[in-house]
Amino acid sequence: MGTLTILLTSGPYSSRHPEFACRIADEALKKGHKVNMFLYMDGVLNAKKGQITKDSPNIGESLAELLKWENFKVIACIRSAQSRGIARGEADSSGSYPTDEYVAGAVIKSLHELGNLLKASDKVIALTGGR
Amino acid sequence: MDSIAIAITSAPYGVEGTLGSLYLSFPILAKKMQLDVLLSGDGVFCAMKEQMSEAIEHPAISELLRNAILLGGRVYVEKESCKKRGVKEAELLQGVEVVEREKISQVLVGADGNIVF
Amino acid sequence: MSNSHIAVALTHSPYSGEREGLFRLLVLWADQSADLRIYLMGNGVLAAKEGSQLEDVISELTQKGVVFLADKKELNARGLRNTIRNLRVTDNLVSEFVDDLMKKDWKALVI
Repeated sequence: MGTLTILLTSGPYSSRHPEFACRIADEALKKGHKVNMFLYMDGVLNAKKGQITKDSPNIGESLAELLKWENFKVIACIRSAQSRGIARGEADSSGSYPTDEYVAGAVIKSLHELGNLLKASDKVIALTGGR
Repeated sequence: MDSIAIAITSAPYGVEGTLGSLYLSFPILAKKMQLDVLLSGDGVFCAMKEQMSEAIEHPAISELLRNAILLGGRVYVEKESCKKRGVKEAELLQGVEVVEREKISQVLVGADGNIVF
Repeated sequence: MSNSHIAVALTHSPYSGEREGLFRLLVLWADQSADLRIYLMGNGVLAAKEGSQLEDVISELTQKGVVFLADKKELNARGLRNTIRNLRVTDNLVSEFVDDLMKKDWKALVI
């Protein structure tokens, strides 16, 4: 079994990329793979808690559900999170930045964490654009 | 993974994706992975030299590319996209390589991982 | 390029942005004997509509061995009943895409 990193740069609901990212992650986890989802640019909005949706799958809830898998991680980029008002404060000893805005289990780290994930992964896919 | 290709098709200074995609270069290079940046479509404008972006309060994309090259990354610019947009090789940053579409395709598929913006 | 295995997930309309470039790239890869599978997700299924301007290039690609797969639910959602020849319609496109994506010698792109 392998390790997949999914880079997601689209925010929730303006395109279906977050939904596809969650479905790809779900299928990969069911097949026994490890999955990392790195949220970048507007992608950092996907992990916000308290999303209420009537017209589409709820991305926050999808991520919260996926985070019950031991082999699934959600990491958001600090620079993108700060610019969108999601992160405040300094990193702790694990390199995670504090936020009270995210679903349980999603963390915020430096963009350099993506380098670590890519180096350790077998595959990467990027869901970007969103047109 | 040991090599990543980042393909950029959007012009600089219009969408966050262009800047964001180039920032990815540095964590990749820091982990000693081979980085290839592929500029095609409107992305060829990223390689224009002498970009003076201070007045629009935006980091110069050309500086990010230049730094990526200095740190060992390779930057390829697609010839046909340049021609379609009136971009001449003499207008481009030193160190970028203007190539045919086939080369772009080869590098994209040849990398262990690819990120398409 | 021969012996390359490539899975491309097309998630946007084939008529938007620089998609013209994409189909030329697919023809290039097919010409170079790459084993190509095109997964039509979301608005990507619009490429599967019979009678479009894309039908000729898609037909050329399928003759070179390229496989086009489309998600049944996405086709139905858009009322797309008349689709291109040789389209593989599947109930779980994402599962099949992940199978290819995670194979050792396969490359995957999401566009």
